[in-house]
Amino acid sequence: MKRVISLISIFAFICAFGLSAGGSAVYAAEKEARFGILTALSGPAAVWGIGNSRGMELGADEINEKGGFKVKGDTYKWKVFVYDHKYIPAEAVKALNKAIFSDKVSYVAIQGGSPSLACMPLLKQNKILALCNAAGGKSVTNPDNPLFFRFNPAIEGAYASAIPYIIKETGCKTVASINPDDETGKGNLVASKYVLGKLGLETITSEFYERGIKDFTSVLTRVISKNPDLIETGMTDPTSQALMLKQARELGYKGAMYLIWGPNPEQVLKICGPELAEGAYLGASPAEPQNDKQREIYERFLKKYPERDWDANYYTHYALFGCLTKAIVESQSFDPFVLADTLETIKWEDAFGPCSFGGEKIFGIKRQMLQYMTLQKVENGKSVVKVISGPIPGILDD
Amino acid sequence: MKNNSTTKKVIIAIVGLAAILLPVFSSDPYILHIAIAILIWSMLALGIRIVLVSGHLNIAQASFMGFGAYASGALAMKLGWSFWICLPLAGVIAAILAIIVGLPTLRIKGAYFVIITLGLSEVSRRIWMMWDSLFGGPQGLLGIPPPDAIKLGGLAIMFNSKVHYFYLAFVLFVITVFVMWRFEKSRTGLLLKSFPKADMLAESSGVYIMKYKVAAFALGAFFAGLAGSFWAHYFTYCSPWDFTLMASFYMLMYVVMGGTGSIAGPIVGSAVMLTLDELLRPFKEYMPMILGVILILVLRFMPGGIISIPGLIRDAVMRKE
Repeated sequence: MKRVISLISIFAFICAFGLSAGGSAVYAAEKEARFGILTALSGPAAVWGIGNSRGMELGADEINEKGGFKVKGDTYKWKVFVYDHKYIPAEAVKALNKAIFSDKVSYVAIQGGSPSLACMPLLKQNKILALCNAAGGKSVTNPDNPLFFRFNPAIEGAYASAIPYIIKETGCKTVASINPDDETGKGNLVASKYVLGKLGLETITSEFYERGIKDFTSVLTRVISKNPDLIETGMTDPTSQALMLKQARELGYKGAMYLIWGPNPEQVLKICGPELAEGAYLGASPAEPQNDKQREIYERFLKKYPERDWDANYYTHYALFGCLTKAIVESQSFDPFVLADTLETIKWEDAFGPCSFGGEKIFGIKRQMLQYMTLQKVENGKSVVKVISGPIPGILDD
Repeated sequence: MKNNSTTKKVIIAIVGLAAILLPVFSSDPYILHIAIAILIWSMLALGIRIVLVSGHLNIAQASFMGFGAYASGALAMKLGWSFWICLPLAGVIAAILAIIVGLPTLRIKGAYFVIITLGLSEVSRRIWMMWDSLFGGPQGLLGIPPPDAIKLGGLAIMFNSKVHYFYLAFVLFVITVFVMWRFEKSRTGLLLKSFPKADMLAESSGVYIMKYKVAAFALGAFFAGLAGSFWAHYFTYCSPWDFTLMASFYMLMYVVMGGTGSIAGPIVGSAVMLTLDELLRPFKEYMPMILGVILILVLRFMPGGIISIPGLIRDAVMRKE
C-alpha cells in the first residue's frame, strides 16, 4: 500500500510542479511580448538545440534587464517559452500548438528543416512570425511564406566567404562534399554545388551518412579514392566534423579540409591533436571574445552556465531578440506583417558586425539573414583567423 | 463477478461520454490536439499489444504507420484520390505489407524477430528518404490535402477545425478498440494468448499457429496504417522523421507503462504518458530523464502497469482487513 501511495505522490508532485511552472506566465502583471523557442533539447540534435535556445534566452535577458522596450508609450518585456521538439516533426507541431494556443506566443524560432516544414500550415493559419534556424531550402523560404525568416548564417554565404581564400592558398580545383542524409544535408549539397560551381570548383563526388554515426571510415574511403583537392564536411555537427578530419588524416588524406559549420577550434584540436588538425580550415569564429560585445555575451553566459558549454555559436543566436526588438520599436507595432516588412529593411548589429536580411536571388524574397562570416585555419597547433567577410555580392543578392 | 463487470461498463461509459463531450467543455485547440494525439497513439499502442499477446515484440509499428501515411498522402497528392478512399486503403496496404513480412518471419521467435522488425524499420525509412519523386525524400511530402468535406443533407463538415479532427480520430479509435476487443475475445484471441507459453502444444493439437500470428500482426498493422493516414492528412505533411525506430519505442513504452494485460492498458499508458510529456515541459532538457525514472519506478513497483493500481490498492486494503 505504502509503495502505491508513494508512487501516486510522485506523480502528483510532478503534475503539480508542471502545472505551476507552466502557468506562472499567465498571471504575470507586466506587459509582455511572448516568444516561443521550439528546439531539440533531447535526442541527437540537442547538441545544437540546447545552445541555440540558451543563446536566444540570454539575448532576451539583456533586453529585459535594461528595462524592456517601448511601444506606443507602454513598456514591454520578453517572456520566452522553450519547447523540446526532439527534432521530430510531429513533436514540433505538438509544441507549436501549446505555444500558440496555451502560452499565446506571437513569435517563434524553430530549429530544423523538417520541424519547420511540419509547423508551416499552423504558422500560416495563425499568422505567426517565425525567425528560424532551419535549412529546408526553397520549400521553407519562399514568397508564399512571407512571415518565415531564416535566422541562421546563409549556407551560400559560408561557402562564398571562405572558398576564394582556400582556392588562393591551395590552388584546389576539385571538391568532395560529405553531408548527413537528412533534409539539412541534402539542402546543403544543393547550395554548396551552386556556390562552389560559381567559384570555379568542381564537385567530383558527394557522400551521405546516417546522422549520429561516429565512424566515417567507409564514407571517407570512398571519397578519398576519388582524389579530391578539398573535402568539405557540409551540415555535419561540430563534433563529427572534428572526427571526420581525424579519420581522413588517419586514412592518409593529404589534401585540404574545410569544416564549414561552426566547429569549436579548441574541440577540433582536442579530438584530432595538433598534428592531425594542422592545416584544416574551420568555418567558425574564435570562441574567445574578440570585442566588447562578444565579451559582454561571454560574461553573461558564465553567470548562468558552466564554461565547458561555451562556444562561438552563442554569438549568433544571442542577436535574435536584439533584431526583433529593433523591428518592433522602429515600426511601433506587434503586427506580424508590419514586422516582416520592417525586418526586410532594417540593419542591426550582432557580435560580428552589421547584419540584414537578403537572399532574394535564391529565395525570391529577402528572408535570409546576412552576417559576417569568419574563416580560421589551424597553424602550428593554434587556430588563426584568416578571413572575416561580409556577404559576397552575386551569390545571395545581386 | 457480475458487479465487477457492471462497474467496468459504467467506467467505460463515463470515460466515453467525457471524451465525446470534451470539445463542448474545451475548444482550446491545444487540448484538442493532445486529445487527438492520445487517441491516435492509443491505436498504435493497441496494435503493438495484440502482437505482443501472441508472443512477439514488434518494433516496426511506426513503419506501418509510415506506410499508411505515405500511401495515403501520395495517392491523394499524385492521383487526387479522396481521403475517404485513401484512409481504408492505407490500412489495407499496411496490412498486406505485414502479411508479406509476417509469413516468413513470424516463425522466428524472441530476439530474432525483434531484429527483423528493426530491419524493417530501417529499410522503410531508407525507402522514404531515397525515393524523392514519390515520397519527397528527406523533406517528406508537403501539402497533403485535408479530408474532403462530409455532406449530410444540408450539413457539411469541412475539417477546418480541430473539433472535426477530434471526432474523426475518436471514431477511428472506437473502431480500433471494438475490433481489438472482439478479436481478443474470439477463439483466435484465446488461441493467441496460449502461444507465448504453449505454441508447440497448440501446434501438436493441430492448430496452424502461423495463421493466427499473421492475422494478429496484420490487424495491428492495419490500424497503424489507418492512424498514419489520419496523421498525414491532419498535419498535411509527413516526413521520415515521424516514423523512426524511436517512435516505435515510444509506442512500446506506452503499452508497458499502461499494462500489457488488457486492452485498457495501452490506452491508459498513452493518455498518462502524453499528458505527462506536456506537464513536464518546464523541465526542458531534464524531461527525458524524469520520464525514464518514472518508467523504471513503474516497471519495478507495478509490473502490471498503471492499469494495475486499483487492483494493488484493493489487495492492500484487503490484506489490512
